[in-house]
Amino acid sequence: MKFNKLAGSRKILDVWNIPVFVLFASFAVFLLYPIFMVIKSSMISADGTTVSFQSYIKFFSVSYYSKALYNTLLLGVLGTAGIIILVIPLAYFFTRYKIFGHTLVGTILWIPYLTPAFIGAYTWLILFGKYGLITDFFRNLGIMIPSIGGFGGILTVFILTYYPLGFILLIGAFQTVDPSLEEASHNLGASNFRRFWTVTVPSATPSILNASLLVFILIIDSFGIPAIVGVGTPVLTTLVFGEFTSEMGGPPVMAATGATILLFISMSILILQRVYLQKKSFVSSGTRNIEIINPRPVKKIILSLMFAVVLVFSLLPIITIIISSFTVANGPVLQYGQFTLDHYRNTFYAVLRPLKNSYILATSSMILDLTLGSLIGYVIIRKGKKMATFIDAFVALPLGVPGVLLGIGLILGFSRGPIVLVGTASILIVAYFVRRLPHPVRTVSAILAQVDENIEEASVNLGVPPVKTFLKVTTRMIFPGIATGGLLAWTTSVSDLTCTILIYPARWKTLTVETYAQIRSDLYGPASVVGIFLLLSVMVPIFIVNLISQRRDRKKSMVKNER
Amino acid sequence: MPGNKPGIIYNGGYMTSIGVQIKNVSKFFGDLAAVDNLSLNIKPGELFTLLGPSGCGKTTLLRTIAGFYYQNSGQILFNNKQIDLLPPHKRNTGMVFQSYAIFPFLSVFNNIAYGLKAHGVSKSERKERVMEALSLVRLSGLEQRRPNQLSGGQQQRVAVARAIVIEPQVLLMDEPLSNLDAKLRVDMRVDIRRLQKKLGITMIYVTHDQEEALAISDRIAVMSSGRIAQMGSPWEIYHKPANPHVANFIGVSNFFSCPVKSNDQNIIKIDFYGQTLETPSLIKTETESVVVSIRPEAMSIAGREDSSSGKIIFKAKIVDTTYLGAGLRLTLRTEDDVDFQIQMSHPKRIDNLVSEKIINIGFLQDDVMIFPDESSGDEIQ
Repeated sequence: MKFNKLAGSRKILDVWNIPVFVLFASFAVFLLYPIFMVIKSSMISADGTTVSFQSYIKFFSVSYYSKALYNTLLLGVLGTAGIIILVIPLAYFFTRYKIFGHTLVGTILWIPYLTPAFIGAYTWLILFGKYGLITDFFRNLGIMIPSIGGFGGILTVFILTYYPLGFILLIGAFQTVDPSLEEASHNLGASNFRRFWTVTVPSATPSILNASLLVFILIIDSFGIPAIVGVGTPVLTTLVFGEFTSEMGGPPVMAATGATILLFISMSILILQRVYLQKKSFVSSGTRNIEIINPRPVKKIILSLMFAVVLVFSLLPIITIIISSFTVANGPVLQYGQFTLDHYRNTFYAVLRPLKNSYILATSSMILDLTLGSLIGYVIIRKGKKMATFIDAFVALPLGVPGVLLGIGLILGFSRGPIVLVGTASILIVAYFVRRLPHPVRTVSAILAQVDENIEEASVNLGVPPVKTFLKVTTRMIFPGIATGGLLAWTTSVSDLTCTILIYPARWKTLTVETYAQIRSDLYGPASVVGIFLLLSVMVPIFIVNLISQRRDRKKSMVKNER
Repeated sequence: MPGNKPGIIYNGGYMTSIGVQIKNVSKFFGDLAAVDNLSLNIKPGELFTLLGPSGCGKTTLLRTIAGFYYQNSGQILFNNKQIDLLPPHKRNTGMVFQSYAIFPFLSVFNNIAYGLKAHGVSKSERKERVMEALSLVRLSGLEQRRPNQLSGGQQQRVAVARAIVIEPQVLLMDEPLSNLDAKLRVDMRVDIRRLQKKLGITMIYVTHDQEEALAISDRIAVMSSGRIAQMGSPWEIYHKPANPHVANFIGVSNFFSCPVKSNDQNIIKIDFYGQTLETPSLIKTETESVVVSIRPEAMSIAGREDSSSGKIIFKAKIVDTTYLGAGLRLTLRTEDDVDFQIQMSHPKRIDNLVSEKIINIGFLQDDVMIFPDESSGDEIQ
């Protein structure tokens, strides 16, 4: 029939297929192809011609390699367990009881997570390292405390760095437990303790597992923390980095093998998390919120003290780095009490170039991410139909791809041939673009799902074509999602070390690479200054976006009150 | 008078209104036919209502006319010109959404001016037409307000103004009043009808509220499962329902299954609880029973004087009484355990109407509707 034919051709010519096509094409070239290159390199036999699993046999049989895998898995499990155990009571008390400075605590607890991970690691080294401030303090008292480092050191720093993510996720979980369930349990005579273990925790189990999986991926993909704290304790990321940088010249077989194994682990976790999330989510039936009660004074003081301890640990890195940047340094030994501006004077001009580089790279990739991410988010919610679930899962792929693997893959895939990225800024932009694309897609689609589709239809109905409607109406409606997505993409790109350190061209040294280099050169004074610039680059945008969104919320609630 | 300028609509005489023809339109969602080979002919200047329960396809049909859905087969014509190949933004229909769909980031003025801008209307004319539209919906003075500073009724008026200001060929209304409270709903429907008549614009109105449909429409199409169950004026729909489903969906109706005594020369004789009901009927059925339908308000408690007035009178037991202030609704049960309702407008006293009491109920033969007995059939409501 004439009409059906036309409807068919309309589908193919649909402009909304363009972003989907761009997504598939760019992921095929810049994500799947690099992954393929890494896997292929891991399977090259000694003579370089046939496919073999020699490298894997070597990996599992030689303890130098298998030790790294063992450490990675053990750190992942113990770190995740430590964080969850620490965070369950914290999040529970935080959602049930009013403590002193409740809102402030909620904000400050985020800080370690927003601090680039290796900066946190570095400050713990300043405090508890071999020449650390606190180590020295006790040494002068005649008490020898173990310096941070090795396996225990990495584990501690992982927990101190990544617990905020667990905390935030579990607060969400405990807040959505249906209060009437808890009341029912109470009503049936269960004690507080019993109620917590029989009702609250089981109801929050899906969220707790979800948080665990996300934290696990974060830990095993981390490069900065083990590289700085864990000298002598290899993990997969540091092993891959070491192997790759020393193997330059020949095919990086062992680096590729390690990266492939890491990819296998994090992909399995990501798939587990997605399958699990989709199957099980206990949506609370009630619309009531959990009531935050004001506990008796003694209890309130005890709880507040508990949070105060956590706060101190959250703020310590920042305070330390600020003080260190003004302190006379002799290599890694900081002479506390001796004030100086030398580090700023000496480092300032050296910082400008990497600062500019980081901003240019992060901004370029953010613009790409926002453009494609908003369109993809729109397609998933509005146009996807059957494809939506698939596109949604596909665009989340980078979350399971370790930074070291993508780095190696980009170098292997694009050093010669039709597309050459190695040696130019584009390799970093591509890496950031691919790795951060899931952020704007998620934030935009989350907001768009709340937006009444009729508003866009009204615009079309009034004579504005669909694409123009997207630009005039939809983008306005999803602006908060674009802002948060952009913020996430930008800040995580600026603070990326894992992938950047493998692929940065000499002229495009970033702030993170500069900081890392200073730390590794044991120049703790200048390292602190560069670190502060890095910290400010991340914190200031977050602060500004928060301020704007708070002001807008206040405006909205004022309008509501007027009526 | 600004209203006399050519090209500006609101001076009593609207541009020539157009008719809408729907020809054998079907729209499938998967295997489900939301609209099933449906044909309609809406006259120029008519206020035409698609009425039906949720899921009957009324909104799907409206959205197909607007172009948000493409039909799987059939044609849509405005004034005998096929428009279904046009994309939605070129159809020049004005749609009012159930959720109003006001642009939350634009002022009232800019909301209404939005479509004019898209149509390339000059700034000065834009202002004039927005102001005129605002006064038509009685919102003058609120043009600088933000949408979140408006009440639900005001938002509704903005949505109407925004749709009419672009001089659409057809106004499409998708349950525009369902988010308003009961009293405002009644006021607004009067306003909408008055406005439609003043502009003389063709309007297709979708609702599930039968009372609203009866009050507002020139003609109604009652829809069920993607098809038209009945089409006609509000009076016809209410008094001459085509089948029991329509009768029950429009208002409330009582149904009694009764044996047929004889059926010839277009007169059917029915045994109604021992009395003979005689009524003209076109039913050609050979079945042994028919369905007798009587509106609750057509029946009343029979007094002594009713027996000689030609009313059919039968006995029933009171099951329940519901006092409504302005009226009284009685639920009754016949001797063969069929429940039915009667409604009286001003009951003199109600204290004697106790449960279990057996009373006489009377009705006039003219108020009876006869349907073939299809023994079963799914309820419309």
